[in-house]
This record gives sequence, C-alpha cells and structure tokens, in this order.
Amino acid sequence: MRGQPCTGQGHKFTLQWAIEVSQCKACFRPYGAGSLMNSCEHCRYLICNPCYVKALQAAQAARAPKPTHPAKAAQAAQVAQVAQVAQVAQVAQVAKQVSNQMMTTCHQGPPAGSSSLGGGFNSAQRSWLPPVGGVVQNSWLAPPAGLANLLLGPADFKFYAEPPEPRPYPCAATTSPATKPSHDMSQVSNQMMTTCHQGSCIGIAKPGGFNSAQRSWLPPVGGVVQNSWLAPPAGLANLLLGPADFKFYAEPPEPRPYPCAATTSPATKPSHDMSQAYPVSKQPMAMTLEEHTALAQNKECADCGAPAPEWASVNQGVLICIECAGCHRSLGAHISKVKSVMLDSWKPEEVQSFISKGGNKKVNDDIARNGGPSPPARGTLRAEIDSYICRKYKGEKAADDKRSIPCPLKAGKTPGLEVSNDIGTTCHQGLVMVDIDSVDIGVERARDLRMLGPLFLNLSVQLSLGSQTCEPTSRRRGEKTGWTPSERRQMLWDAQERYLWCRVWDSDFGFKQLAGEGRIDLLKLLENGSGSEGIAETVEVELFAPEDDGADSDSEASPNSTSTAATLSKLQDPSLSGFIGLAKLKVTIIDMTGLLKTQALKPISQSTWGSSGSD
Amino acid sequence: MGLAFTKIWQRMIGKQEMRILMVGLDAAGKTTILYKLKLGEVVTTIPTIGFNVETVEYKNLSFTVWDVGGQDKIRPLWRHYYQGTNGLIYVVDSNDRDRIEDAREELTKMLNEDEMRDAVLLVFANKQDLPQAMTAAEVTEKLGLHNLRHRQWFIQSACATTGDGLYEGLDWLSRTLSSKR
Repeated sequence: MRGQPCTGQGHKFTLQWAIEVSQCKACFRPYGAGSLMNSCEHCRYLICNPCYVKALQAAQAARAPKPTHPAKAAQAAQVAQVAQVAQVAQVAQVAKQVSNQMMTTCHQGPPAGSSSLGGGFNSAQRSWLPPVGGVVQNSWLAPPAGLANLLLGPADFKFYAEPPEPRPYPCAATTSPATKPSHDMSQVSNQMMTTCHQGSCIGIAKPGGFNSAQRSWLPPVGGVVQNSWLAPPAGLANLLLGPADFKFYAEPPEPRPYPCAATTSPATKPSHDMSQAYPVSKQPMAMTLEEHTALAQNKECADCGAPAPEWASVNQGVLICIECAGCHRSLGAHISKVKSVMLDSWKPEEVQSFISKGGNKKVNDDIARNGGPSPPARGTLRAEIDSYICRKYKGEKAADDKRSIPCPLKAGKTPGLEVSNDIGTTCHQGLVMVDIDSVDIGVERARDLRMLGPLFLNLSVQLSLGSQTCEPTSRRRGEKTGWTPSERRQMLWDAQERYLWCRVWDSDFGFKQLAGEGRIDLLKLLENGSGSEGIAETVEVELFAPEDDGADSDSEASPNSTSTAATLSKLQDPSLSGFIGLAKLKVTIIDMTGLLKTQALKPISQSTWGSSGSD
Repeated sequence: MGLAFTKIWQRMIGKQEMRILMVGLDAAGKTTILYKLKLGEVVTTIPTIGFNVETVEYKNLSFTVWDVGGQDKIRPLWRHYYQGTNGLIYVVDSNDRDRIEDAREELTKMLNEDEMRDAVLLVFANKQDLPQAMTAAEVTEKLGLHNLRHRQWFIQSACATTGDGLYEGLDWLSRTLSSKR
C-alpha cells in the first residue's frame, strides 16, 4: 500500500501549509516552495494535488452504491447488531485457537451506522489509509479474555475477528461486513492490527512492551511486529488510556517499567496484577451508560455523596455531582476528564472504558486500598470536599494529609468573600432576544395621539420582561405611523415569566404617552416551537390602546396574539376599538432550565445583563 | 446627524460598547476567565449550563462578555448569540491534547457563519500552568489559525487562575476594535 494516497470513504481533505513535510507522502515527489498540500483528516498524510485527485476518484469509485435487496440489508443489519453484542464474548471463547489475527482501527470520523459495527470491519465505510503494512501477528496461547476490556481508544476502537484467511488491511476495499458473515467459531486465525488515525500516537505491541519509538503522528510505515504471547494477556484488561494517546501495551515476559511518560497518573498505569483486572463475565460489555448510572452503587456522587450524580469523570470511572465536577475540571484533563451524562455525547469506547472501571464503589474501594484519603463526612464544607478531591485523584496518600496541597481553585481566593464565591456556581439559563422588525400604528390612533400631545409623533418601542425594562429604541419622528426600528434587545429570562411586553411610546420634550401595548406569551411560543432549547420565530404582536385612554383593553383577554387571522378580524371589527396596530418582532428564546434541574439560577437584576444591542 | 454627533461624543468621552462572545469546548476555562476579568479573583466554577454575561470595562471600552456553556449538546445554541458580535474570544484548554481537534472543528464551523464574518478572533491558549500544556504556537498550528483568511486574529497564552495573559488579550481586542470603528 505504500505510495498510495488514502482512498477510503467518508474522508475529508483540508488544505494546509505544512512546514515539516518536504515530499508528498504518496508519490514522494518533493514539494515546491509554498505549494499546497492536502492533509487527510484520518491518516494525516500530506499529499500533493495530483495524488489528492487520484484519491478522490478512488474514493468515489469505492463509494458507488451497490444494489442491495432491502430485505437482505435489514437482515444483515440485524445480524450485525447481534454480532456486535456478542463480538467480544465470542473472541473470549476462542480459547483454543492457536493463531489469532486481530485488526483494530480507530478513526476520528463520524460514527458508523449500526450495520457497519458488527460482522467485522466495515472497510467500505470506515477504512482509510492503513498503517502501511502495519500488521501485527500474534499467537495466542491463552484465552485473550482480558481483551474484552480493550475497547478503548481516543476514537472508535474496534475489535473484531477476521475470517480464517488473514487479509491485508483493506484500504479501499469495498466489501461490506454486513454482507460478510464473520465470527465463525471454528476459525483458527485472527488478525490484529492497530492503528490510530487521530494523529497523536500510534503504538504497536512489541515483545518488549510499548513501542515508544512509534509514537509519531504519522502512521507507521512498514510497522510489522511479530508478537508471541507467552502469557494470557490479562494485563490488557487494565489497558487504560493515557490522557493523550492510545497505548497498546503488551504484557512483556519480564515486567519492565512502563515507558510512556504520559502515564504518570496511577489510574492510567496498567496493572500487572491479574486480580485487579475487572472480570469480563461480571461486567457485560453490552451495558449502556444509562444502565450503568442506574446501578445502586452509582446513585450517589463518588466524592461527596450527593444524590443522583449526572456528571462523570471518564478516565477515573466515577459518577459525580455537578459541584464535584467543577472541582474535577480544575485538576486538568490529564487527571480527570469530565463529561456530562446528559449533555455530552459519548463515544462508544468512552462508555466502555468508563464502565470497565467498575463504578463508584469499586473505584473508591481501590483508592482506599491504595492508601487514598478517607472520604469526608456528609455535610462537610465544600472547600474540604474540594481538597479531598484534589488529594484523591492526584494520588497523594492519606499520610500526606498534613502537607497542605493547594487546590488550584483556591489559589488567589480571598477568604471572607463568600458572595463572589457563589458567582461561578450559578448562571443564567434563559435568554430572550428580540429583533424589533417593524411597528405600525393605525391612522386613527395616530390622530388621537397628535391631538393629545405634540403635533408630530415621536415614537419609540420599549420591551419589558418581568422586572427588566429595555432601553427604548431610537425614536421615530415624523408623520408616518409605521417604521422599522431594526434594533435588537436582549433580556434574561427565568423561564417562568410568561409575558414579554411591547410598548410603543410617544414622547417628546418631557411629554410621554403610551401609544399602545401588546404582549407575547413566551411559554406558549416555546411550547409551540420545535421543542428544542432554542427557538427563533417571527411574531406579530397586536397593540392595544391603554385602558385609561378610554378604549377597552383586550390585550389581557387575548394572550395569543400570534394569529394573523385573528388580527385581520380585529382590524375589520370596529367594535374592538382597543386595537391600534401591529408590531413585528423576531423572538429568539433560549431556555436551558430543562437541561439541568439541580443548578441554581442566578437572580435576574437590571445591572447584570447587557442591556441593549442597537445595531 | 444627531447619531453621528453622538458617536463622536461617545468616542471622545464615553465608553464604546463592544459585544464579545466567549466560547470554547467545555472545561476550557471560560467562566473562570470571565470572573477573573470581572472581579480579579478566581471563583469556584461548576459547568456552565446556560450562560454568564458580565460587563468588563477596560481601556475606554466596555466589553459585554457573554460566556456560553460548552457541553456538546449546548454548542448548537451558540449560534443564537452570534448576531452583533464584535469580537469572539475562543478559549482552548492547552492541556487537553485529545480534544484540540474538536476545538478546531468547532472554531472553523463558527467562523464560517455569515453572522460572524466581521468578528475579530482572540484565542486564549488557557491552562498554561499545567504540565503538558501546548504552547501558543502549537495551538496555533493545531487550530489551523494560519489558514484563516480575511480574519483578524490573535492568540494569547493564558492562565486564568493566575490571570496571566488575560489583559494582554484584552489589549489586543481593544486596539483592534477601536481601530475598526
């Protein structure tokens, strides 16, 4: 495959100026000064334009749809799903197999469809540039049960068995796994290949351990490693990922120091102790994140014991509450990678890695056994819990408790400023943004206004929501009763205040009278919207003369002022004398209160919000 | 006429108001930066589900900084904040090498939005105090900033907890935005 540009599918090319590469990775012609190179997002190869065109053509050819009977496709998808669940378990059962070849690959691209996951490697969808010749031949003398937990990687890390015939890495091959039954239990040969296309590290197992020499971000060329397994690769069960790289760590015949400097954290260091390996049988791989979080041991925050934790430290394997999540984040991503169970999307291998840690109880027990600090009592102050979290995950022993370990959060904090401490713990969750597009006042009302006040109208629009009142728009002076202010206003919203009021004022030289007012029912608008957290809709607001003006205000009685039909009928109905005009507003509502119920809302005050945004 | 006079007057004595949007992946340090700028203190933060908005006055400019949460499912809401944005502060966790590629994708996506075409870009390569932090040059390369065309940008290495680099970044913002007006 050497010398061939990437010809897989679903790839993207981006232009970049590379400084460190002197020749095309595919044709090996040197680059001229300042010539454009195309970087494959998957394999990081930098190739010249002719090769790029070639690669594109090849990819298009590979992408050409093949006629598939719909029934067959559905069946294949079903088979693939079942195969996906049973996949790892099956591999574990191939105990008596003499030679295995495995192939794993991690891609950064979008997750493949479910049909592509099972039944082997979907080269048509997922394959991309191979590690050139990067085949790892392994002879398994013992059941590779520990590999069941090896579903880790910085991106998708697929583990699958190949049919008896070992095949080269099928870069541009178009064989779809859905049509190719695999996992034949009688197979005697599996191929294993690891390659990481994310660009940070590629590790290939060598008999001596981790191949640190291969930690380059370009795929290894000709990285064929023959590996004989003399012991059950149980250590692989603890093949936890380092913060930056995917590490493929083979159990050496003699223990050697772990050669990767990036894994100084004890949690990421692979354990060589068989008993520490989490038994596969007890932790079914098919468990979903939801199922895992629903376990009894995970119903409380691993650090402070708060109920229903919705956050997780992916690499530490614990479920935590939002406040502890805040402290975890302050430790840095090299110690704790925090994700929300609800608000973040998890890659399958992240879920597997997380679940394989065994949950809150197991992790806490392990830390306690290794001399970690003792957990704080319930109701302990936040500062103490934070300090406990720092010690717990930074790996300091309980004996070191007396040594003061500054928590990064506390650095520079002045004692006695409790008020400001709360600032970061609350935020606004709702926002209403209004573009005042146009306002039209009826001619009759304009005549009335002129009679009551100065001869010329001097109109401006003012919005208010709850206790907030926006700065009025720039005033419109003249005889015309319609204009387009085209200004934007923003208001914080607690998602409870129902009505947004739109008032049109006629004001000049100290004289101010309300020309008309109307309102929008925000809750109803949100309800009628698509249901997502943010909607943007253009709304027509009917304006009514104020009550004290003699006209009977209908605004209270008709909160739904968005219907144009109703508006028309009102315009034609002389009995509804209160109706004086229309305002056209584009309302954008952001409401995130539903996303997280536990978070305190910051009180809305006039001083905190960016009042106006006139364009 | 009146409007022009108001603008000149504002320029002479008043503070110009700037709308700044501060975004970035989750746990990049946006909220910590915002309150370090606002209060000069490091506050305890929890993940921002929603947004924080504060006005920071600096060098004759009044920055209204919107700090919007960065979790995966909140990111689609960023676009609602784009309109009228003068400056974009993009905060990157320099220590998180795993997700720098995600950061690049989000940034590219955002800069391609039409509403953001006039916004200047300030990147904070935050968390420089952590051991494996990427340098500003490394972040520049990984984010592909050199490929940006028709965009004024600036990258500043920063550490929100100590405040290092934050005002240098604001300096650039105020210089760039004042000259634009």
